[in-house]
This record gives sequence, structure tokens and C-alpha cells, in this order.
Amino acid sequence: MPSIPLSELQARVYRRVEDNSLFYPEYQVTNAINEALQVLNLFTGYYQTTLQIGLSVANRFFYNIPNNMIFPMQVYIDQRMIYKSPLSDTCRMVTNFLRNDQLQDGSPLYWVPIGIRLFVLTPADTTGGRQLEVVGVVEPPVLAASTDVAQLSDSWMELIEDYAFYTLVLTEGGKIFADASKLFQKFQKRMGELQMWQLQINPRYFVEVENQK
Amino acid sequence: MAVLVGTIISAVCDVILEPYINGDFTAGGGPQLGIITEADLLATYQVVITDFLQQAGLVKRACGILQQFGVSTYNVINSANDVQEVFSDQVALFTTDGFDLDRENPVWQQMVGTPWEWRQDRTKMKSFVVIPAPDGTGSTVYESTGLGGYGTLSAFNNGTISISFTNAGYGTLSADSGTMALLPANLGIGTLSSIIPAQGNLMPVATAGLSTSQVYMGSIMEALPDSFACYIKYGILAKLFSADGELKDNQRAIYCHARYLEGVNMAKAITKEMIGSRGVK
Repeated sequence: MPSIPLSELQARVYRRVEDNSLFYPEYQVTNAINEALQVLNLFTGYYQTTLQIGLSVANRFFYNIPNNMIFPMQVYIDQRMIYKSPLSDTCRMVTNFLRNDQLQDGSPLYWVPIGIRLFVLTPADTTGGRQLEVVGVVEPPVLAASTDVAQLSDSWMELIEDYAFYTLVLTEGGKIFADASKLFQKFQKRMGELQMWQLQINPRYFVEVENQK
Repeated sequence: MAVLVGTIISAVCDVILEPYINGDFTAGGGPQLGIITEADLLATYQVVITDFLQQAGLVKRACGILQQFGVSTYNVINSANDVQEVFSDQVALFTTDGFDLDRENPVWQQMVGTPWEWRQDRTKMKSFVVIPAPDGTGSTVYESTGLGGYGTLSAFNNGTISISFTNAGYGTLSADSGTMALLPANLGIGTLSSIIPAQGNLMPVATAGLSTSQVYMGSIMEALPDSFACYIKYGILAKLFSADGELKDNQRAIYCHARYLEGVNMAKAITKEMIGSRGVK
């Protein structure tokens, strides 16, 4: 997987805006590139990692998810996968899941996400001291210095370039933006193929006729 | 989660050609041309992020509320929006509504006992009703969300205070022998290190709202991961480009609104597929 430095990404975007560094200062181009990375990551879950969040505490139910994780996908306890049980289902099926009066052998069996920042281990760990790990999608690295690199597949290069381009020319408006924004339709189509979500519905976008002239 | 509100506002200003110098809002001076003021931008930010949080339901808050004898209606905390689950004494209650209750048991309002249902209809905003009304007052409230604690620490039990702070606590200890009570003069501010479900009390789980109505350029964007900041930007731009005035531009309003909806839909998809029970496993 190629490592692309920010300077190269900036150069590619500047070529699209006719090297107009007066109207589009470097910080705006960098922001547009970082935004592209964030949006692509949200669609595809490209930047995934496993974070250790410390040891379980005896009889404790609630645990926080680290702030740089966008959303959790799986929880491991002592490197053993435990099953996810959605909050609404758990509340209907095991109403006392926040009490330690359930039959158990001392080790949690389920994790119940409460939004993206908190989860419950149930039954609570009766002994504590077990290693907790969360797998999830994290924020992409923020590119700031020209030597900062992004690990990207080749097919993403064009997507990022296009995204940064129509994000920048939003400033101009009129026909220039209307034309560029057709790349957004292309982007939506491509995301429809790449996205990890089944329920994500991309909103319809169209260019008004008078703006096409 | 450390995107400053000023960073989002500054990005909006770049698009409407009202830039801060080098995009640096900390240098002061505000937008240069006077098409729109910083106060207007902050107000629009607040409207947009509140709407986003309400629609998306990505972040939820669990809060402890003192359960009181014979009292069935309780208010949720200011920083919570839509109550999704309610626990009483660490047991999840079933959802119901006033219509069903009236048909099933016309005297339900007279009942007192261990709550086993809750409802949100036919009551004032940001409140919920437990059924039957509790037959006892709760003992201890423990609370933390990892994002700062909100609510009322209100109870004590048999001389045991069940609050553990990692840092200094602020408040007034009203007695030092026998039953102790901690009576903070104001709400506690800070981060509590852990959350323990309220014993003998109510614990609603609700979608997060803003915890303060005062937003400044130096405030941190609340309750959303950094990656969603761009969608808040597009929400603000959609409002600016669609309002009557110098900035009105239908094409850009359509685009920005589409981008904002993209963010809302994305958040909903995460909520349903990763946090909820639908979709990918």
C-alpha cells in the first residue's frame, strides 16, 4: 500500500485549481484533503484498530470507549471475543442485566453498546483484572506537515483529489461549482460500491438547469 | 474529540469569503466584510448541531435520578434529548403509552409499587412517567458518563457515602457523624471515572444534547466524533445559502443540504448497524 506524502496530495489538488494558491491558500487545501480522508473513512471504515482500554473492574458494568475511536465494533476480554447485544434487545430480554444476580461463572458474556462512547459488560466481571480490548473505526491521522504521509490504496487517490477539488470550489459558486459538483454525484456512486453500511442512503443531489449553462 | 467550534466557523467563513486571517479565528477581528456576524454564526452552529444530535442519536447519556415515593413523573437532565430506556433499581422497564394503560387498567394512576413500565406520551417535554409510582425512595445515586457528570447527587444510606472521586470534590459536607449527606451548592463539574447504575433509583438512557447553551469560538464541539465536524459545517452553510440575503445561492444550498443529510444518514446507519440490532454484525 503506497504511502503518499501530504505535499504530493496538495500538488495534485493544486493542479486541479490551476495552481491558484492566492485564492486557495495552503491551509484550505490541507483542510480539504483531511476532510476527504475523514469522510472516506466514515463510509468505508478504512482506519480500524484494536485499542486496549485497561483491566476490567470487579462488579463494574460501565466502561468508556476511547475518544479517538469513532465507533466500536467488537469487544474482547482476555483475548476472548464476547457477543454484542444491542441495548433495546437486552432491555426486553434480560431486564436485570445491570444487576449481578444473574447466574454466571464470573466472566462477562455480552457487551451492550450505549451509544458510541459507552458500553456495558454483562454479567459484570466478578473478579476483575481481565484485559479489555475494543476493536473499532478510529479517526484518520490528521495531515499537517508536508512530509506527513497517508497510507492509501491507489484507487483512493482520485477520490481524494476529486473530493478536495469540489470542496474547494464551493467557495466560487456559480457555473464553476455547478460543474465541479457533478463529481460529487460520481463520488456518491462510488461510495455506494465501497461503503460498509447497508442502511446508509445517500441523499439525491442534482444540478439546476440554469447553472449548467 | 477536540475540534473547536471556532475551527468549524472559520471553515464556514472561508467558503462564504469572509475569512479570518489565515483561517486563524484566535487572532480576533471576526469575519472581515460584515455580511454575517460571529454571533449569528455561533447561533446557527448551535441550531445545526442540536438538530444533528437529535436526528442521529449517536451518543447517549445515562443519568441517575432520585426515585421518590409516590412520584411518577421525572424530568430528564438538560443535556439529554430523547429518552430511550429507563431503569429502576438496575432493572430495565418496559415501554408503554397512556392509551394502553387506560384500556388495561383504568386506575393505574392510583397504583403504588415497584415500577415496571415507563411512558413518555401525554406528559410535558423532556420528562417521563414510571408506572406504578414507586413505593419507596431510592437510596444512592452513582453517576458518570465519561463526558462529565450531570444531574443530582442526592442520596445517602446508612452512613455510607457511595461516591468516589478521582479528584477533589467540591461541596459542603453537612455532617461528620452518623448519616452523612453531601450537599453540593452547585452542579458538579468534571469527569467521574466510572459509572455505576443507580441502586434503588431511576436511570434513564437518553440521546445526548448540548450540555450548555453558551457556545464560544473556543468551545469544543460536543458529543460528536471529529470526523462529523465537516457535516456540521455543511449544515451551517445550507442554512446560510438558503436564507434570503447576500449569500443566497440555490445550487450551493442544495449541495450543502445534501452533504448535511449524508452526515445525518451516516450517523443513523452507525447507530442502527453498529450500536443497534440491525445490519452488519
